[in-house]
Amino acid sequence: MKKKKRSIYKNRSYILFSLPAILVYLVFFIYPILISFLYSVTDWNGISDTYNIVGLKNYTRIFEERRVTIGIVNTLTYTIATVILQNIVALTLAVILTAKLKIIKTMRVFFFWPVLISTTVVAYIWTYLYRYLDGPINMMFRSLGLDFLAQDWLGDPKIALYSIVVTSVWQLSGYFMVIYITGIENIPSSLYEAAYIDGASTFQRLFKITIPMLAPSFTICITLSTIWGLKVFDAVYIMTGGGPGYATETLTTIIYQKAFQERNVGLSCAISVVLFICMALISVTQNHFLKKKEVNL
Amino acid sequence: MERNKTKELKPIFYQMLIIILGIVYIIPIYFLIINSFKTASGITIYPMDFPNIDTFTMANMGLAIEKMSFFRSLLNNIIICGSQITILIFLSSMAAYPLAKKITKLNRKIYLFFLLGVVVPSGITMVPICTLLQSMSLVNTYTGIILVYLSASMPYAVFMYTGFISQIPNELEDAAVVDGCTTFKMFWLIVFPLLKNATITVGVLNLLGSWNDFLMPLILLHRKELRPLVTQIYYFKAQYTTEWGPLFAGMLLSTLPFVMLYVFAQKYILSGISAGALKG
Repeated sequence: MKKKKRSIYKNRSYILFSLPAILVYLVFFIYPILISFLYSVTDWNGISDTYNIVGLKNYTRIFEERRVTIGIVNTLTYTIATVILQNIVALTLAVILTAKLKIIKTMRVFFFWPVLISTTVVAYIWTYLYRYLDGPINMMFRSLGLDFLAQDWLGDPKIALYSIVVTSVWQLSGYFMVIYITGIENIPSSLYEAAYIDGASTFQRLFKITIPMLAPSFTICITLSTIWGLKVFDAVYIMTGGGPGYATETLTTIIYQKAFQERNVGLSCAISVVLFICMALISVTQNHFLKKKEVNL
Repeated sequence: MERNKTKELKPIFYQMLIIILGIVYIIPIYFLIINSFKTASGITIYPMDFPNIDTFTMANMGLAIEKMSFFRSLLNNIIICGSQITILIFLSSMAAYPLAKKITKLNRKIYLFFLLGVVVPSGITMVPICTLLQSMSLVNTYTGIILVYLSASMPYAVFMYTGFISQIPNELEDAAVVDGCTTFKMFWLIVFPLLKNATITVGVLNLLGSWNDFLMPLILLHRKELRPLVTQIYYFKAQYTTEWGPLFAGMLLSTLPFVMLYVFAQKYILSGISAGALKG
């Protein structure tokens, strides 16, 4: 039987299977990335027919311009904040919603709904909620006599970025909650039973069984939330446009603004390249680190 | 065996916590709904209340449907996302087939080639994509944006399919070869039907990613007739800056299709997300 070796695999149509995908991927994904590198060393403005090669001038410009350096700090702050908060909220929800109580199972759907709403819509809703004079949040505080809690959530440079973080946490935690719920449900209940018999408290069960067994889920959730945090655009663009001042500028909004409003394609691409390299490095390191923790289990 | 007294959190604690979190979660949606049906004065003077006799209005809805070309935008969404996902499923599953079955140096390289793309987000290629499509006269066309979404989602889709296909035993194909099956038939009649789970996962994840996408339509689709729901809302707000009522009505409408889809396909959506995560 083995005589008829996989002759189908010698069939040339075999390669044709991969060709369309490779072509599309090459032309519309890989090629633009490479072109980005090219543009980053020019002074092109996006419209004229000619441009000059200016070497690494754009890259040095990045660190000279205050807006960009603030943008880098903001992006990092935002990412760290959302990664931590989204995962804590998601994990808490997942733990509660996998407890053996009938009512609670139906609530899972409930917390997932914000994920289905577009970031743009979420951004507008929260912009409304955050309004200083007539926004519901402040009105509620004032009606409770807690006037001092009413802030200019999106207009105060010190807290604007964090207001956007809260919006993101509200929207996306449900996504990670789903992943954690699946992870928790895959933990063999025999582990819990054994712990119960040994007299472990709820918290002990949580930290000694649930969390370690969720290591693979942690890997994917932390990786995803990091990527989403670093490339945030919609929420910032719509809620504050980067303001007040530069308080909420993030790298993607800067890339967009530099390219399409300032017509400085070279600088925009230089920032994209920097972001790209950072994301690649962070993803790879994170993955490596997290996978190691998984294996240790 | 002595049973130690265990410190259990009473169920009531869980229930209370969930209710509190639930209330916090629903507040934004509550406002989304009530403001869609309130007059402007109702919104300003009584922001917290349900619309009552004086403040209820359907005018917001009417304005939204008319000015936002709701049905046209919905159609655009369906065309763009539907095409993108269908073509993606075809191309990526086909591409993954040789990569999963025949281990050669070239195939390994191609696989890595796709894998690189998983790490790269699409927002980074904003500018070159724009100029590339301009040079191909594909700006303001369905084709252009479909190709952009297609190429950006290709890496992960190929990755997923490769994983699934490599789990299909070779014996099935050997048997087919004996019966004189061409590679083409082999893939579509035997292998692909077995990939239902992968297809659902790829479909769901890409639907979530492209249906509500904001950036790409913003830079690639300027013509009014082509705008998807999300972009339409953005332009609507830019035009009618102070009227919250119609904006909320428009947003509520634009959210409905997807939410209804979720109600019907909840099982698939949730399992798609988990499967995508596990394989990752």
